[in-house]
Amino acid sequence: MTETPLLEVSGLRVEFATASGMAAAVDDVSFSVAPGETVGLVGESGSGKTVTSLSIMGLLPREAGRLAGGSIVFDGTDLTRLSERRMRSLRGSAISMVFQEPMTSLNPAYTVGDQIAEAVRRHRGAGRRAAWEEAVRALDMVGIPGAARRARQYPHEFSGGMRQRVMLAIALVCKPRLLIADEPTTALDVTIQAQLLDLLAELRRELGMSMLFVTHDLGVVAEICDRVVVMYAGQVVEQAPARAVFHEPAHPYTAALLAAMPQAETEGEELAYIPGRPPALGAWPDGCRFADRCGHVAEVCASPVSLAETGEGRAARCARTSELVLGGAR
Amino acid sequence: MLGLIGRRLLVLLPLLMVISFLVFSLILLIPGDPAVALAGDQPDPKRIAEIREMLGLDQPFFQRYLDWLGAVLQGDLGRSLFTDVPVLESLATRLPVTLSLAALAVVFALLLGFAVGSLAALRPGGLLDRFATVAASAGIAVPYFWVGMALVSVFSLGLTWFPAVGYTALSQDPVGWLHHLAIPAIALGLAPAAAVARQARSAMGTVLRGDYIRTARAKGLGPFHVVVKHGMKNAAVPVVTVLGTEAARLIGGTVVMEQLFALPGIGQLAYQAVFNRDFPVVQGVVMAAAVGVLLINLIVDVSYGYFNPRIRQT
Amino acid sequence: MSATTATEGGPAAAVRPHGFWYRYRRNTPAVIAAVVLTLIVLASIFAPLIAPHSPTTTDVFNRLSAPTPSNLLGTDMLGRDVLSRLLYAGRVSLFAAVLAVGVAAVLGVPTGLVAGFVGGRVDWVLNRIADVLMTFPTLILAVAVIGVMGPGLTKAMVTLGVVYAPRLFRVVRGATLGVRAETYIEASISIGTRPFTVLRRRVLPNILPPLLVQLSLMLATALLAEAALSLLGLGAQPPTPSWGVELGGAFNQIRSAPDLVWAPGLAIALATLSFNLIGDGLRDSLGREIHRRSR
Ligand SMILES: Nc1ncnc2c1ncn2[C@@H]1O[C@H](COP(=O)(O)OP(=O)(O)OP(=O)(O)O)[C@@H](O)[C@H]1O
Ligand SMILES: [Mg+2]
Repeated sequence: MTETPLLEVSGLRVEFATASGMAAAVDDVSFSVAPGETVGLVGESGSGKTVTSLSIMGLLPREAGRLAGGSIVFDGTDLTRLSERRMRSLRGSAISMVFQEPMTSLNPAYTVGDQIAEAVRRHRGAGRRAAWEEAVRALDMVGIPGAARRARQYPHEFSGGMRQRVMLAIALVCKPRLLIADEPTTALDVTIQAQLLDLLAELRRELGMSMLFVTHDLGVVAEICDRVVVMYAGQVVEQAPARAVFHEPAHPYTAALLAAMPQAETEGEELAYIPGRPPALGAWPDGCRFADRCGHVAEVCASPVSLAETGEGRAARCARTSELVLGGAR
Repeated sequence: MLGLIGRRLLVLLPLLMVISFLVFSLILLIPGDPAVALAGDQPDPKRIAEIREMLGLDQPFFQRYLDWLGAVLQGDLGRSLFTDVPVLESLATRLPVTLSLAALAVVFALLLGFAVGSLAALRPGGLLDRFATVAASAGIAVPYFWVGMALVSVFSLGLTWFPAVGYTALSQDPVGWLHHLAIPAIALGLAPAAAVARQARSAMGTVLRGDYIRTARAKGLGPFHVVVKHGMKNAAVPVVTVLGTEAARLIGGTVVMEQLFALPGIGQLAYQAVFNRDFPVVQGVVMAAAVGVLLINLIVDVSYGYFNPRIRQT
Repeated sequence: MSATTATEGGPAAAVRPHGFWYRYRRNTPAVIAAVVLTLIVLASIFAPLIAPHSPTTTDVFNRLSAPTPSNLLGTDMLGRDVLSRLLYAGRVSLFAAVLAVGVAAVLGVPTGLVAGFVGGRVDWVLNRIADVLMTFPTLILAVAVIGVMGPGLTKAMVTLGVVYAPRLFRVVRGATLGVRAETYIEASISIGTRPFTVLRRRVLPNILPPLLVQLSLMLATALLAEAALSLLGLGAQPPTPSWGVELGGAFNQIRSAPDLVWAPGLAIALATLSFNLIGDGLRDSLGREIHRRSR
């Protein structure tokens, strides 16, 4: 843990325009990713995972959102202070991102080969021909059979899983040092999901890159992540090595997530779930944001809590964490 | 692609037949005896007989139509009652002028409309967007012939930057060609440009919010590349559709513009033919215009396949 | 009793803010356009009362005069008062536009209703006729018909009306098809309501919004076409004043009096712009009603 991190996000705050003024969708988010490490970013829908990822890429929707504070240091440079021009030269070459929506993330009007080769030409200044060959190689690498032929086809000729492989090829073709994978498998069916996860783990090892893996599925985290960052309502509520989180979660929300995980053995039983819904954007309480869904809520929870260290490489945002004994994965 | 074009052409054939019949039927609108009506102010019997002979008026209507159609299929559209020049020949010599005017107007409309529409779409609700919305409303409504007159008044007569009238062939003097056609083409292209801008604004507005635009930006592409390469091709289908409609309407406008700017095109031919009541020429012009519209529709149809690969393969 | 009125008043009051007038009034350009158009129409109708001079009295000693208190917009090449001619021209031009659109409506609306309702072969045939008519550039066909029949504003406008008819046909047919797909029409017919009543009560309210929009836009097109034809000497014949005739006359003098083209052009532009903006305003404020009904 003494190694200098490749990516260090600290105090990140992102605001969106809502009906009742600006509201922070991401609030005081800090975490880091070491070289070669895979970090899982976990949380329910709307917890701010995608917003965090887009902030790192510098791709927040311009008209609605704005970066309101914090720093994102990548390889020693603060990306939040970088000019758009220099940020562009990093995008797709040093940092890449695979999006949540495989069906719509490819341009329907161009062949997939063209869309991969484009990145090569942009960052390597390669010629048309060389870039095309590189694109075919990338398609082959992500496990698309008949890559040379498939490169000349259009996105609508690919299935969802295959399209996500194409997205992966676009992201990886310039051998980035950090890959942000935003729920790359959520939209796909289970068997395809498993194949793609295996592929991702394998490629990560092969290329020796770091990865920020966004998901709301802790099972996936267990499979491929070294460390986990759990988000709730725009904040980081827990951070820990993956194994530790599974055995002894330090935050009641993490524990609830673990309890809600579908288990092979408990199939047929009613799925556990976390009762209630997260508070809406802009309607966040001053105290612990998980309080009104938490089974361990007490008076202290009404006052603000900060992320505090709970052990070696671990931190949690819970006022009662030291007194609680929380159950791990079943 | 060629197969697609061929199939479209086959579909057009029956339509062309009906159109040709309607065009031929125009003669039924002539009040009284056509031969007398077309013979001029002081018809002498010899001339009347001549016209009757030329138009085959002593034969039954359907017989005449079939004869005419047979001739048309062999490229014979008849001769002018006035100059005796074959109609097809007149059309052919004048086609480049009208085509130049129309093509320049369309190019102008496409460039200006797409540029303004895309820029407006980049910042919805921004200053340019609001200005463009108002300008487009005005541009669609403003009479093109009046715009032409106003431009002549300012740039030809006032500043003398452009010639007020006349035409130079592209093959002879490309610069002079552009110089003579600039004002009428801009005037004629303004309303289509406004229509294109509106359509481009709305189409680009949707397209630029698309996920694949984010993917393109995530590759590190700059805004120009993102908008022009990844935006335009996807926004093109509705824009081209509007452009096709506007281009068809623009054919009508060439009649007025050629007259105002003394351009020796098909529109001017039509105008003269109308004043001389030169029936075969009128027939020829209407037929040519209808074919022109059909061709524009064909081009638009075929272009869909280029812009949207999904259409191409089904 | 009071409770009943409250519940009845409740939904009505809730609906009102979404009513047509409420939405139309919030569209400033459309409101301004409606005011401008009303002024133009009134000025044209009352031209004989307002016009300071006769539109046809010539004055050879006062040709191409600059604006003066007596001739607010100056005089033309025959010494006629430009303002008076413009006012009278408005009557001719606006009437011509209404004539063309009227012909289009008389031809297009009933056929559209029939095609939409009857469907089948009738629909097919009417559609093919519309296809063919829409292949002709309107202005060229009008020019050709005049070439055959001789110049005249009425002939020109009737021709335009015929060529415009397919557009109204399409709009009405489309709206009718949409209405027919809804079950309540069949329900009303099956409970024995007379077809005409069904038409008036159920169909018309659904067809009217898109039809009004189209009519408004078409009036603008017809006005432009009148101007173009008259400008070429194929429509209204001098000395009858029409906006196109005025513009054509002015253009002939453009070298000696370049400013004469502004006023008639502006009159045409204002009128067409107003029709267009009103059409857009109607579309935006009627649009949601169409949507709600068809759901
Ligand atoms: N363009 C936007 N405009 C306004 N609010 C936004 C925008 N994008 C995101 N938000 C808000 O930011 C919050 C976080 O959204 P985000 O997409 O990051 O969630 P997520 O954790 O990725 O959820 P999911 O699992 O559904 O992808 C949400 O409350 C959302 O409403
Ligand atoms: Mg997300």
